[in-house]
Amino acid sequence: METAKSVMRLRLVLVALVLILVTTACIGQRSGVSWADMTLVGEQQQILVSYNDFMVLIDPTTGQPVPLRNSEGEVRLDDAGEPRQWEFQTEGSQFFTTPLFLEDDEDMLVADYNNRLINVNFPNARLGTGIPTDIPGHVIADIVLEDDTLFVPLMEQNLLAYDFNTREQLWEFETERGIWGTPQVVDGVVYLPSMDHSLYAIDSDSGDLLWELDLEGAVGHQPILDDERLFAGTFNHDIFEISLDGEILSQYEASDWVWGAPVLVDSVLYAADLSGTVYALDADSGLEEIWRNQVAGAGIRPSPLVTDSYVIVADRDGGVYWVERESGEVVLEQEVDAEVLSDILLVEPNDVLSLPDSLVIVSTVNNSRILVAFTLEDGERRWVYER
Amino acid sequence: MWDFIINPFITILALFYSVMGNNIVLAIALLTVVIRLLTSPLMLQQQRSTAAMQEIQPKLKEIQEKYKNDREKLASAQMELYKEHGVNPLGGCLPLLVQFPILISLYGTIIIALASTPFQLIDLSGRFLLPGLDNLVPMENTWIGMDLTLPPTANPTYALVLPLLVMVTAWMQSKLIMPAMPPNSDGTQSQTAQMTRSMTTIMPLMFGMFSLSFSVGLSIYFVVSNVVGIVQYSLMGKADWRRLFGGESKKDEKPVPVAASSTASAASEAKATPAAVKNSLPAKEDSSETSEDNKVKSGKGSSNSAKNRRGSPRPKPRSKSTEKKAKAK
Repeated sequence: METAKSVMRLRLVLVALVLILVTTACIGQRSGVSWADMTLVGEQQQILVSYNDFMVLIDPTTGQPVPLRNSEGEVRLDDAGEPRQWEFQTEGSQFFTTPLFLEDDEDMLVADYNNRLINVNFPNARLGTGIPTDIPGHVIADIVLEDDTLFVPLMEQNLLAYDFNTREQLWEFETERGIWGTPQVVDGVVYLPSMDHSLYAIDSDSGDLLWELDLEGAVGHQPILDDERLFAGTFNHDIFEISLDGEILSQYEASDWVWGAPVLVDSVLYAADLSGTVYALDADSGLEEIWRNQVAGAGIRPSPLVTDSYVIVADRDGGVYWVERESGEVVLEQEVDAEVLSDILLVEPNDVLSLPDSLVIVSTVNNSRILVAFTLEDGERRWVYER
Repeated sequence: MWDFIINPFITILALFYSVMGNNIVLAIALLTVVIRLLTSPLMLQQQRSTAAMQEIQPKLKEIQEKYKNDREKLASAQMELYKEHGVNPLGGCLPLLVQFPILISLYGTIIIALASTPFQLIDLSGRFLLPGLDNLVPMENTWIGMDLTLPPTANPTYALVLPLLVMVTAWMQSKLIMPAMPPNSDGTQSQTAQMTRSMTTIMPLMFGMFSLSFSVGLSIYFVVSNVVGIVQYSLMGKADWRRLFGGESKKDEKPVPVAASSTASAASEAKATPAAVKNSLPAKEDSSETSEDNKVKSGKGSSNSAKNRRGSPRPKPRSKSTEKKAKAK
């Protein structure tokens, strides 16, 4: 009897241990690194999506992958006779950044998350002829090319500068934490946001520090440059106006982390934070508040999309909100039923692209709704791209 | 599901991180100490329960022998014995089970708080229960070249030392604090003792294997927790270091009394009157006897256990034993 009890007790403990194993496997274990990145390509404003192990080019009129065509404009077929689509995958690679389109328009340079710079031949959606360059870290912020110098921000820490033609490393600038926002390069100066709470100004030729400004909070986006000043938001709830020589000109306190880059339009700075609040601040009056409105029930990670009439934001619960620019009131609301973390795109009709209406493109973390397109004016859902 | 525990843990970890000069390992260690101190009443209860169970083992055996053909009376007599000695048969398990949510939540805390990718960091937002902690984000997640959010197998090779430390400290702790189990009458280990010994070996191994699969930060928690446990029990005088190296336990010589020193007095009785003890052995098979009667007769309970230790002969048939019992009276 006693033996049986002891065996039972041991079994109970072992079962409990197994339960721990299973339960802990379900905690805090979101798979993946980051969210999708989108950019518009060419006059046809095709949407290039970089997400996890693939890049795909989407036709904004249909929401379907763009077919590959030969030089005569005919659709290419694969071995099975099916139309080939513009999609790029290569073994061991992940993509979370916007590729750099090179001058010849044939190749694009991609910072692979798995420590490489690779050339991709755009017309063929295949690896290009250039030899991949190994880099000593992961990349989740966009690379920048300026005057034949390639700036590569690393997720763990440091900014690298390479000669674009030879891929020789020119210099390395050390930071204490990672760089998750794209550097801003203007007039020979690199303005570098860092997760170590500092905004740096670096000489682009030598890599020497010009100045460092402690913002007391992580900066996760590209600093906004307007004329003679910079704007940046931090995880410490602050939005700053900063002079080009590193002085804080004004400061505004938001409610929560400001992760997406603020947007400056007509001297009004629009920003959103992880409390679901959208802000309109007067950029010419020391960031004086024009209006603020908690429009969303969950946090807003992406930068606001500012159009003529609206400020459009999307939150972590999948809500998409059209906010009137003048008043800050929500005039329209849609649902995508999945978390939105990527920046929002606007596709507008032009002479080449025959779209009846402007489209708002939202990307979610759910593979069944990677892209969702709404019309700008009335929020009507037009198409969904899934994988 | 576990956010109601995880979020407070994250908040406390962030506070400690701030206090400890942004040193994440010290923050985890301090959090571990606090958790350990808060759960020590449970641990003590577990220890007491285990010790009490061990004390009444001989009596339990008597009852099991006595009522082996009558489940109802057996159950009733067992419950009465438990009640009499204030023992909860599940008392050893319950504190252990209560600690599991803490362990699970601590794992979640380390993974979420030490975010190293955008996805991880976005999941940290909104979890601080106190204002003023956002300027700590992102918290340092590396230590001597190891990423604390990754398992040792995904870190430099020297990170494998941590699971080893987890196993060693876990083994040390269980050896030091596990109560001694009395052997059988023939000198061999009882089933219970064997089971306990297995647990002492299996549990450290299992935790070592866990540590290989889970984050380095959790290994640090295990090591600190085990060391704190060893220190705690040492300070309370409950840790027997001689058992660590295979020596005889002090507890073997001086068992902690439950009702009274059953084994000691039984040992002395067995020396004085071996015949009487031998003859009294079959008496336990008499269903009319109660545990109270046994206590009165033998002085303090298990004369049988003393007899068993001396390797005495098997019990005699009932008819003869009844006669001898009558004679002894």
